[in-house]
Amino acid sequence: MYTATRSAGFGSEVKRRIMLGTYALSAGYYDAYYGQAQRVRTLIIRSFDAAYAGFDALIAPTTPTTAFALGSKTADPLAMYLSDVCTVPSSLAGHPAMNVPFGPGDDGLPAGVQVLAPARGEAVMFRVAAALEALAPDTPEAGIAPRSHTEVVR
Amino acid sequence: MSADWEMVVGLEVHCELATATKLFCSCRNAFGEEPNTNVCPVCLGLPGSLPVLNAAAVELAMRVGDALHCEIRRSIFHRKNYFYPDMPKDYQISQYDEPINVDGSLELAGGARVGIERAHLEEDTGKTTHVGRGGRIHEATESLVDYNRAGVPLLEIVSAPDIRSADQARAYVGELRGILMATGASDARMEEGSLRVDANVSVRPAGGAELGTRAEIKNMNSLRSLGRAIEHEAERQVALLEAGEPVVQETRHWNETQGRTSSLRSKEEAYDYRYFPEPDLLPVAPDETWISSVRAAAATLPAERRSRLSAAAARGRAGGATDGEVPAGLVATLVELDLDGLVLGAIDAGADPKLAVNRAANEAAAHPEAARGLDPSAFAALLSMETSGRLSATQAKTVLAQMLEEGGDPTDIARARGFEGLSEEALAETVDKIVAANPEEWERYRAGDPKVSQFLVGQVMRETKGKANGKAVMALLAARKG
Repeated sequence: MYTATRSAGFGSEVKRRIMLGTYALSAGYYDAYYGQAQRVRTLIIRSFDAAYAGFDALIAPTTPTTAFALGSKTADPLAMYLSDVCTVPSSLAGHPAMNVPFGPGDDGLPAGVQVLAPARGEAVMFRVAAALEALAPDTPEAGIAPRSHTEVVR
Repeated sequence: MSADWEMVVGLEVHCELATATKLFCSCRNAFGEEPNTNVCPVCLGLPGSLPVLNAAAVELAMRVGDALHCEIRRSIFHRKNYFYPDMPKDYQISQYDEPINVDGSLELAGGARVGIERAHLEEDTGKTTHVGRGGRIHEATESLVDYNRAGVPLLEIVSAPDIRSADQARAYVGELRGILMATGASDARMEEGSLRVDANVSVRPAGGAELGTRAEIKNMNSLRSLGRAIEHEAERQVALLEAGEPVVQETRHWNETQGRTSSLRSKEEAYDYRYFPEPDLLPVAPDETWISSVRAAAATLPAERRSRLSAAAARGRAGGATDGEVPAGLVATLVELDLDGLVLGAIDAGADPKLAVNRAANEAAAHPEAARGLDPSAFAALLSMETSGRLSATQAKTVLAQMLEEGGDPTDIARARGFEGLSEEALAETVDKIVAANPEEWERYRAGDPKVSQFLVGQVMRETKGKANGKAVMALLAARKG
């Protein structure tokens, strides 16, 4: 039953991540992967701490590119993972971050700007995000951009 | 086991902590209730639920750590991943490389010291019951799971491989049970599974320095089966080595009815638990104030209670009517049954220490519940009626039995039963009378013939219709002889 439900219920990306996680935690590989990753994580936290010594918050693109066509990167998981590269650092550091829709990119598709703040820095993060939102240009209603999230849900 | 070999044993003791609720949720922590009634999304491992650590469990773990002379440290929880129906989350939240208590020790009554490597917090699993035939999974027609136990707080206490015999292993668990109960950490009942013991057993040539390959033995459910399993496993390993065969590192299952162990899984089949830090829980870092308050409120441990009772018995012995050592075994029994307070109270009230220990450990101990409720001064009064000769030993036991059953004052009970018909004066008069009536025997007694004393005592007994106390008569005869 487990084999059947797991095979049917999980997509290939979920299965891939379960396998990778299991492998990284297994005896004999733990130090090389999980242990090493934990050490790198500490370095990332330190690097953020150094940045926040001079700034209250950071802003950055949320994604390296605007939206790509559905299914265009399915065959290449690594290219897919690279789409997350801008949001992963604050997740690894355990710091708050939020995205603010910020008008169209050069290709006319919607682009996001993220606000990154230090640990327990949510209050600053929300204030900066509100200021950014006030500045954000409108995304034209034409094209494939949805009008609102609720419309997508419907 | 032959003298050429030495066994090396380390024990892992799991005890359920006596908290009101479970370790990470507010479900009741209770034994013996309708299956699957004390459950919630957290202990059933439903998606989206989050654990919240129970402070009372941490406090109990600290109390035990303190009693075992451990260093109490900042600790973190890990996920121990494995796949089995008794663990609905598919991982157990446990402490791994940073446990709350480390580097302690436990001194056994005989003086041996057993190191404690660690005592860490973790959650219990659900309870599986395999129905049909032998009660093991491969023999079962149905397997049932009760998640009332899932998430109950456990303390796993890991000893150093310092134990050298089955007797020592039993003594270690016995002493540990006493500590767990004294600290209020656990009711530590092996039969109910609130105390579970696994044994790591290896053997080596006597006096050797290196450790042999060990096997881990599971499924002992009493102190007796723990001792038997260790003896058997050590013998099995010695037989292998003497035959030139290696001992395999593995987990073995103790079969109580067959009196032997059998292989459960080898090192190659051992689980890979893929530990990683539990992201939903913060590190537990008890501050100095908390640790000191636990230390300040520390319970008196069994070892200290034993030495207190022995000392009181020894102090009182000089002035007591009876003499001789108070046996260590009786002292241990009294502490175990929580009757040392009764005896200490009676000694304080002037009772003869050795008699107090004997009557408490032999007669009162048969009804420990009632004995704990006995008024120490009433107990002392009964004992002095016996030492002064107003009651015979048999009469005193009868009065004590009634005190335990119905309560009451020993003087009243003795009078109601007609035991106190004989005053000391009346007894002395009877002895005078018998001596006068048997001049020949009296002369032989004075000359030192031991046999005739029985005759004289018997005559007094007959005269008093059995109400006299034999010892008191002997004492009066001896006093008369001068």
